[in-house]
Amino acid sequence: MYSYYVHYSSPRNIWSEALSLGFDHLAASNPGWCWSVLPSDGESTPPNLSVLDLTAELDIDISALPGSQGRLLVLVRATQKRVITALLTQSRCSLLCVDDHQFEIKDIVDCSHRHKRFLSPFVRSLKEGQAPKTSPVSLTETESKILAFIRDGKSGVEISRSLFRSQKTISSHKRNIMRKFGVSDDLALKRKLQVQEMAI
Amino acid sequence: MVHYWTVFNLVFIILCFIMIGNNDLLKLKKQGRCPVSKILLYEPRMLVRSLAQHLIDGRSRPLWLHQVSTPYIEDIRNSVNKDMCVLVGVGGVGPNFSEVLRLFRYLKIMKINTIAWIPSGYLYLSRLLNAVGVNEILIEDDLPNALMVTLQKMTTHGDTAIKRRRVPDLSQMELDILLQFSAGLSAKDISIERGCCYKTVFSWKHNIYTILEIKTPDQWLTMLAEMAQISTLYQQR
Repeated sequence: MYSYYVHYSSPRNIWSEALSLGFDHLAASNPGWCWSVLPSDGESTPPNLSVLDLTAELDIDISALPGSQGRLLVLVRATQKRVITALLTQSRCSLLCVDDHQFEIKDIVDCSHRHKRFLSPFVRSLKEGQAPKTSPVSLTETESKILAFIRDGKSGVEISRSLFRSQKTISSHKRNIMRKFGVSDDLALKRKLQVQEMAI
Repeated sequence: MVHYWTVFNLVFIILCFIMIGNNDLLKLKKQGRCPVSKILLYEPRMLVRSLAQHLIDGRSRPLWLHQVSTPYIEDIRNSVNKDMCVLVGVGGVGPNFSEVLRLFRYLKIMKINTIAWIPSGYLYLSRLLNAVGVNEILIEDDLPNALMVTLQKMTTHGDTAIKRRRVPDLSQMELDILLQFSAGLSAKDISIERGCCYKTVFSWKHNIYTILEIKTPDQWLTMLAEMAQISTLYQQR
């Protein structure tokens, strides 16, 4: 009987529960294989897989990741494109997107045995589809100031009152920002800002 | 004499229990709803699907469970019954988001119970689901406990089915207009496509504001951005 040891580095939540269920199914379909969770203070047995949940993180400090990245599986969400990109480029850990529609738990186990990197289908597609960085948009000082107000959800009237400028001046600056971002309406600008916050 | 009194009291208590039980059933029947005995699960994400399936299978009172795979979402309309509850994981529906919203509206008209779960941090999405007639909206992080409690209510007391919303629901037209706005169309584009006046579209938009309790244009844009984020989740950029 082969025993596979998993260590959850983060507090238990819905994702660790779902992952444990996956391991249970794998053990049920493979009679010679069993798995168990290592307690957080278990020093004696090294884990075959260490699971770190970053699904609630907005940003990541790669240097803070545990040392043995060959056996580290990081859980991320599909919305965390910036975190995924940072992990893909700056570390060697395995990545599992919890929003993925289909993947095999067996592949995670196999990769950890062979010290190979596991990437779930969404992360893989993101890696393959990574385009070269577009040149950053250069905004004037006033445009940056107005963009900060737009980010905070302020309307044109509110910005004009705060900056003691006419509504038309603000509107003109906003149009210039939109032109520089290559968007033509408020929703597209909002999405652009949202993507900018999440992505690279 | 004491013996007769004891028997009388027992009969009285049993009758009371039967009447309370019938009262719940009568309330449900009055609304055209039945207690839930079957579950239809639509959750495209593997991890959450297996967890939900495990929770449903592990109940002390077993429920008939059927899973719907992604390409056949349209089939849900044909396969639902009044004793069914439709469970949907909205966070993973991706490009099918608009279809799922239309489905919820249809299920509400058919008086079929629905439960949806969404990722945390989507304030307006929760309001939108409420307005298209979803009976219970859960947050993914609380799913293990919240799903069990909600199913318990639906299968025994029917409390969730009886719950009423304060605001009116979105009409089919309002939902279509909202989906067109979230797809990036302007009021002018929508008016041309629908062959109606530009001001009529604004009137519909105003109605959507009222129903979804939206106060400012920024809240409106945030809601559209939430909708766009769900429907474009699996796009690479």
